[in-house]
Amino acid sequence: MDAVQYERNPKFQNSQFLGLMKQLRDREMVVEGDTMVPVEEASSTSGGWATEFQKSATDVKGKGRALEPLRMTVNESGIYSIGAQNRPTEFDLSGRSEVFGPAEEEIDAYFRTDNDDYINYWRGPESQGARFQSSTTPPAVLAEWDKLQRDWDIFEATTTGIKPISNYQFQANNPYVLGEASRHHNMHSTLSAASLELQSVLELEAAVQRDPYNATAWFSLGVKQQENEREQKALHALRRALELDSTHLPAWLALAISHTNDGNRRGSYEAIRSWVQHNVRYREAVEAYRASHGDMEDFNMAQTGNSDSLVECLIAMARSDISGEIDADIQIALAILMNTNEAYDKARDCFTTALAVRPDDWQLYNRVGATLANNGQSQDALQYYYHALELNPAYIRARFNLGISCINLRRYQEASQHILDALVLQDADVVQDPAEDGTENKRGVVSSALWESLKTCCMQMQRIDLATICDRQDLDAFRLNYQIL
Amino acid sequence: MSDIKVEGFKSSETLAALATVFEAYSEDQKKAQIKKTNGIFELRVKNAEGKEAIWTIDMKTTGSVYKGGAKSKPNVTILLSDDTFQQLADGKLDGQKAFMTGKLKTKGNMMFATKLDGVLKATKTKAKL
Repeated sequence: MDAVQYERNPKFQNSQFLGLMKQLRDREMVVEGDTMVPVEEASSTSGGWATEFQKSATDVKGKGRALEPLRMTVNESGIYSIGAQNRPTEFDLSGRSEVFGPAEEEIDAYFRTDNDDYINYWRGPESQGARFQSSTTPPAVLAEWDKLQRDWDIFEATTTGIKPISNYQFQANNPYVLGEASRHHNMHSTLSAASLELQSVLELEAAVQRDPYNATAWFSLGVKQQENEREQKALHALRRALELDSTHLPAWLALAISHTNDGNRRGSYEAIRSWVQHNVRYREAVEAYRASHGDMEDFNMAQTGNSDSLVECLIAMARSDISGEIDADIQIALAILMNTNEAYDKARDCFTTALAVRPDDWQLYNRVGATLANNGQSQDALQYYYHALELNPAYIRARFNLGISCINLRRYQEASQHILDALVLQDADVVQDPAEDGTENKRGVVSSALWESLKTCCMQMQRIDLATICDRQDLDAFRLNYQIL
Repeated sequence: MSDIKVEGFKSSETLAALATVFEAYSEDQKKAQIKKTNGIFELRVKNAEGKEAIWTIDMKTTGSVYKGGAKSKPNVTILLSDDTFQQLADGKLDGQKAFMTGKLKTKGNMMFATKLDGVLKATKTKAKL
């Protein structure tokens, strides 16, 4: 009303409309500011309303509602047309009702409902718009969203942040997936546990593909990949096994080992902790330990950077066993922790203790060897590697470790032979597909760490020609040239 | 490579091996190693006969090992015996311990000398469990 005060146009001043407005003011009508103001020609708010109306007119949803009042303005007389355009329905009413008394009530009610309508309408678009969009979005946009979703699916929100989900990549064209081979596999698996352990990676992969919800199958695959010096694949397989069955204790230990090899201290610590938590046999001992030393959650290696309390817990577990027998798993768990802490002497002791209980475990021999080698005792490590290889000649990891130790002892000729053997064995796991080049499959099957070590060897032997072949990772060419030494 | 070697020094073998490892590095690996270390070590090694040989490990610009004193100012000069260096390289002795027991002396940035361990270790592939 203040804005209208200065309007000099007598026609406007005397108009019925202004009279109505005055009435409205006197009665202090509770109307949202906007709805009253649009009367004057040059008001900025009226512009706002106009644009809003335009918007609603263009909006397909609002069309019907918005156009109707606008059409009504055409019938009104010239003077009020401006006001009418801005707020046509209000004006309509006021123009018709000469008798103010009852009309006021009508207007009140009308304004209220009108306001509500508008509030609803403008509140609506959020949800309406969304519905509208999803039903009519062009396929290109949908595809874009799908792509984003897929990208997002690769990541996994965890308590520690967002990290990529890594799925196990199977080799294509695995012959063992076929029916005939699977019969062969079943026959094998019923024979004995030993033959199961000696299966090839491809057989295990096929077993997993046939029965993807079998945690034990995933675990066997993971361990086999560890033996074959493919840490990443082993990690994926073991994680999958534990997703399926978080109480599978050997898988936790294997996972801890993989993490240790990857230099992921935190990961191996967490794996060992989970192993302790899921270990039913020592539940009492663990609980007793917790009671006297505070909760497991207080271990908090993340802050302190040491795993002392977990080590103590494991020792308490070992002591609680009054049967007099040594539990190799506890010793292994301890040894893994010692290894991550670079306390190699203690780690070796734990592994050798475990070895006393399981004298035929080639993995343990290799672990003792690796611990020694990492402690700078490559010479002593050799015999353990040899023993591991006697028990399992196809143990690629031990062969590679043997090669590393030979490099450290500067026996390059010997080292190159061992690493080459390891590479040949790894290469045997590649599915031979004559139709394709095979390079795609080879990636991830033959590890580049082996090639790099081999290259170092060749450089030491002054065989630059062989080193360049290593860069190409061409096994056939290397073997050919290696013979002509 | 052979120009790194000095007769009568066991260390020269190790350093030659180190040089080949750096040579075998790809550009990215080299860059990562240089970024991690970012400095120049000058090694003055004395053998049992009292002879001295000097090598330089440049992990600042080129990422290489060469015989003789540092071409540009080294961050640290390390004085040690042939045996001590051998033990360091084999991981049987760690640098800090050697320093504490007086087997190793430094000139220049002492803290930087602790990085030598990292450089020697980086060239070794770790055995896997």
